[in-house]
Amino acid sequence: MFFKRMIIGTALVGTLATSAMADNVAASDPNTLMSYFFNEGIPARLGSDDVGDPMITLRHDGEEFDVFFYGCSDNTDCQSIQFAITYSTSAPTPLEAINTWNAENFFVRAYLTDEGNSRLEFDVLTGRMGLDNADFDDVFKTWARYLEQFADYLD
Amino acid sequence: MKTVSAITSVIFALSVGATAQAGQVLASNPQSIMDFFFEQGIPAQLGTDSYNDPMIDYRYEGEAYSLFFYGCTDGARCDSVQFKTGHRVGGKVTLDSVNAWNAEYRFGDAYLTDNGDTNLTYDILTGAEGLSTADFSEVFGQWISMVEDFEDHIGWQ
Repeated sequence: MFFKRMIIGTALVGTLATSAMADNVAASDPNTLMSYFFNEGIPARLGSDDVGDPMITLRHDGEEFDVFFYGCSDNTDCQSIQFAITYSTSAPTPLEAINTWNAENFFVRAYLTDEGNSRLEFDVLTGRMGLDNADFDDVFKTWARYLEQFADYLD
Repeated sequence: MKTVSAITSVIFALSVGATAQAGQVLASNPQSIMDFFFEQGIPAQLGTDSYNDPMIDYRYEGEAYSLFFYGCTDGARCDSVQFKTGHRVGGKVTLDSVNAWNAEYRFGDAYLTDNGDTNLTYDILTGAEGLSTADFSEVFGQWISMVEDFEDHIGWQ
């Protein structure tokens, strides 16, 4: 039963994927991201978030973080993804330090959450055509680099 | 006027869809971004910044903006662009307010400068293959609404 559903799901995604280009990575087809992570040797699990949109949880260098999908219609056809991680620090990072991070770094956005944790996010619009696989690799490597730098920065 | 340009961009997007790579927007090809602005009816001028990297000045609804190019080698082959705008708020926007913005809004980020003014930035990696014109148009639309939302957020007149 479970397998049957999975096969149907894959077939459906296959037809939807015609909007994106063959090897492109697009939020509109979460399996293109799952394939990218698989090819990179990164453990990834596809699930859904609390509004029913796709969500991928990754393990990378011992850290676990989520990839959220945005701009979806009826939980499919999503327009963009967001890489996100929250770091709990023993004391809240001063806002001045968060601001300096944002002034000095590209692509990512840092902020203090209401709970005083430090959160780092990176939004990428993949649109209708998606990003070429090698370009998405640049995007992901950029995120991975910032993850590491942000953790060091908070120390 | 707005309807006409919307129709033009839809037709353009459809033709781009058919010929995949032809209409890609790329930081490595500043002219592709100049073409995008032209198609959108946005006045733009290609120049260089103080590092001799490409830079595009454009005007949108009467406001002047600059688009910066990054990840360039010898002023060419850039791999990303940055939309950026500053507001001279003279210390009237707090770090709390900027943090609340960053917590609530997606895609770009805001920060206070050393002078107590605000900068809003949005970076796009276009890599080797770039974004389709239609997708870059989405990105640009996000940038414009981000600026409007930010101005509302800081009470900019």
